[in-house]
Order: sequence, then structure tokens, then C-alpha cells
Amino acid sequence: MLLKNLNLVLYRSAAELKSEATRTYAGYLWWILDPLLSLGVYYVAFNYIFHRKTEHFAVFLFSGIVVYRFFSGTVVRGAGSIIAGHSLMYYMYFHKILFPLSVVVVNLIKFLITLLLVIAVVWISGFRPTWSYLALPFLIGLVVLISTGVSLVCAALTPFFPDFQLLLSTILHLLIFLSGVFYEISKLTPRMQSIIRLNPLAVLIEQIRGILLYGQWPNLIFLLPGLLVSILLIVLGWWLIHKFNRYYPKLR
Amino acid sequence: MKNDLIFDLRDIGVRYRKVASMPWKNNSFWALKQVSFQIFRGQILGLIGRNGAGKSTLLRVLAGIIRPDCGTCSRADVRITLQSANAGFDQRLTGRQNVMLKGLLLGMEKRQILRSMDRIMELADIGEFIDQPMMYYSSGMKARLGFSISYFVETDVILLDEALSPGDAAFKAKANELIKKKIQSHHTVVMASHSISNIQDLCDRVIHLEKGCSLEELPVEQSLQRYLQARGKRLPLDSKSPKSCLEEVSADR
Repeated sequence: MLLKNLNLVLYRSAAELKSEATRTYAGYLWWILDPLLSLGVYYVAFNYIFHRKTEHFAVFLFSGIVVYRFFSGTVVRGAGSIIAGHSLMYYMYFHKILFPLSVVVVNLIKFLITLLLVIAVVWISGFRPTWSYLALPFLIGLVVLISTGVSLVCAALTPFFPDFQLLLSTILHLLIFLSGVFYEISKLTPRMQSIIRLNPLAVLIEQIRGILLYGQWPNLIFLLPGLLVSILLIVLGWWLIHKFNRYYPKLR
Repeated sequence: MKNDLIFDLRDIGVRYRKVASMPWKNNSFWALKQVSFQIFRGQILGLIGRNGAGKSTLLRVLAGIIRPDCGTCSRADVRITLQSANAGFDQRLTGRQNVMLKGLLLGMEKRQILRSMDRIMELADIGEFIDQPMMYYSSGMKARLGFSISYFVETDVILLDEALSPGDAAFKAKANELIKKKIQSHHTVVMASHSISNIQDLCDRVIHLEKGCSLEELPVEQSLQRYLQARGKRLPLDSKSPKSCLEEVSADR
């Protein structure tokens, strides 16, 4: 049963990726263009207009943006996924977890490809790989877990509170400033640092940068709360969607 | 085998609530209030009732798509498919991808779907459109593809929601023929229909829904008569040309 559902999630994700690519002229190229363009925008804004003095700012910025974009993309698309699937679920029964999970898979595949791009940019900028790269899969896994958790909970609740979907874009906008995408958390006041580090995403971005730019091993103590929160959110989201599995088709 | 109980519905009620309504406003609506009946293996049951009587909702309860808010619905361990003219497609995906996806959703194996793909395409008769996103399809093409997929799904129970005749006249005739054959083969069938003649031809039982309640069950002819009487029509059982009147009745829905 689980295997069948997994098959379904993978098939649906692949079909979606393919259809997305065929709808534009640049097709699959957008997977790379999109993050590069958004890097361009923030680079111009912060380097030329605000004159940030962070070293290797392009690499610094890019690694943060890519992680943040995966998170926000997964959460936004995930939140709307059950509502968007109404026409499908009204005609047959299946587990609604399918919707947010295939959003996660679709975004994950794009994310992994942009990560390769990030590493390429890091090497081009003159950084060399270190042993700390071994910790990278673990951190990426944590990013995926936290994104999945938030995405599942949002997906479970938005059908009941459609307004939340609109509010979400504002929340995520705020979050990009609270995640240390544009600045080094360690340069803030100690009080501010401890507040920002409550955000698991900020910690993850900081530690991934530590690996890529400074060859630092991640600090497990900082990561533990994030891991616990993600597992909690995944369980909660899964439970909610399971509970309302046969209720969602009634909501319009 | 004839007496295997497939569905056992007792006092089923289904309530729809309007999303984004304030809790102090009473914005709920009981689509089904009190529906009870049993269906045994091999029976062909017709569902009649006016628009909004709850036929589609009842089919969704039987299919397990929604859970009733009150009452109990027990269901034997069987494969159930709901056939409907608008079959729930992902408009952005191609016809072929939708066939695959729908097959998987309906519980078929990947190999099984690939094996039936040619026959599905042949029946739907949409040519190279099969590899185009479905948003470019005409509504007739969508209906034909939807019908073809559900036609080839292996199932024990068929639930029909006005799905007897999708597409243009030629396809309608073909589909009608096929579905009648399928109904008569071995399946348990529940069909919601406004077509009195179809119900008369095919069904061996009729359930009459009225404002969300199932009325007392009568034999097919009597039940149809009661239904038509309520709408100010008569079923001329012994008049000279019953067929013409039936057509008039089914045409004025």
C-alpha cells in the first residue's frame, strides 16, 4: 500500500515537472535561471544600493537564497495543494497526503540541481571542498524535513482557512529577513542573535554556509531543536491530513 | 453468492459547511438527512430524485470519497469506481499522463495500465491529442477519455453518475452499448440517472431520494410511477406508445 502511494507520488511529480518544462520556451533551463535571476536581484540591491561589506557576498547570498527558496516554494505550493486538487479528489478516493508530498518531491528535485549550481559557483569563486562537505547531506536532509513539516501542516489547514494562503506570502516575506539570507547572524547584537537562532531555517542556512565557505563542521546542539520541530510538524501535519482525508472533498 | 451484502447504509446524513463562514452563522446544509438501504452483490440499483436530492453526494459516500456525518455505512471489501462524465483530470498534464495517474489512483498496477493504454486510446479515439496537455481538449474529448479510462478499470462495483452518455451522438451510442454490456455482465451497479427508460431497462431495484431522504422502497415500476406523479407526470404502463412518453419525460429534465 505504502509502495503504491510512493509510486503515485513519484509519477505525479515527474509528470508535473515535465509539463511545467514544456509550458515555457526555456523549459528545464528555468530550474537554473530562476535562482540565478533572484540572486541577481538581491545582489544588485544589497551590493550596489546598500553597500554590504560581507566578504564573497555573491556566494554568501546565493547559498542562502537557494535554501530559502526551496523552503518558501515548498510551503506556498504545499499550502495550496489540497485546495488545488479538489477536482481530482471529488471523483475518486485516495490519500490526500499525495498532494503536499508531490509538491515536496517536485521542489526537492529542483533544489538538488540548484545546489549543484551553488557548489559550482563556490568552487569558481576559489573555495575548495573540505571534509566538512560530508555533513552537507545531513543538513540538506534537515532542510527537507523542516520544509516538509511546515508544508504538511499548512496544506492540512488552508482548506479550512483560505485567508491563510494570502497571509502566508507576507509571513514568508518577513521570514527571508529573519533567516539571515542577506547578513551574517554572528555580526548582530547577542540578544538579536539568540532570537534569530530560534528560527531553524536561519540556523541551517548559517551552518550550510559554514561548510561551503569556511570548512566548518556543523554545530549539532544548534541543529537539534530544528530536527525535533520538523519531526513534530511532520507527525502533526500527517495526522491532520489523515483525519480530514474524507472531509476535504466536501470543502469548496 | 447472490446474497453477499456489499453496502449497508443506516440513517446516513451528510452535511456540507460553507468554508470561511463565521461560527455564529448557521451555514451548514444537510445534503443527505436520512438514507438507509442495503445492496447485495450483483444487484443493479437505480437512484432517482430531482436535482439536489442528494444523488451525487450519496454516490460519493458509497465510493468512500466522503465520510457521512451521521449514521453508519459499512462496505464489503470490494473495488469500487465512480464513473462520471467530468472525471477529474489535471488539466496541465497530457492525456497519457492523466490515464496513467488516474489508473494508479484507482489502484491499478503500472504494467496493467500500460497494457490497456492502446485499448483506452482506441476507445477514446482522440488521435495524437493523447500527448497534448488536457487544457487543449474539447469537452467531448475529455468526456470520451474519462469514459474510456473508467471503462477499462477492473472493478467489482460500478457507481454511475449520469455517465451513460458522454460525447457526441456517435460516441454516445457506442458508450451506451458498452456500459449496458458491462452492467449486465457481473457487476454490482448503482446508477444515478434522470433517464427513466434507462432505469426501467437496466435496474432491478430503485431508490427514490427526496430532499436528502430515501423514501420507502417500492418495486421498480411503482417507484418510477411515484417519482413521476410527484412531478405531475404519469407513467403510461398500458397506453399504446409508452416509448414516446418516456422519451418526452427524459427529455425535459
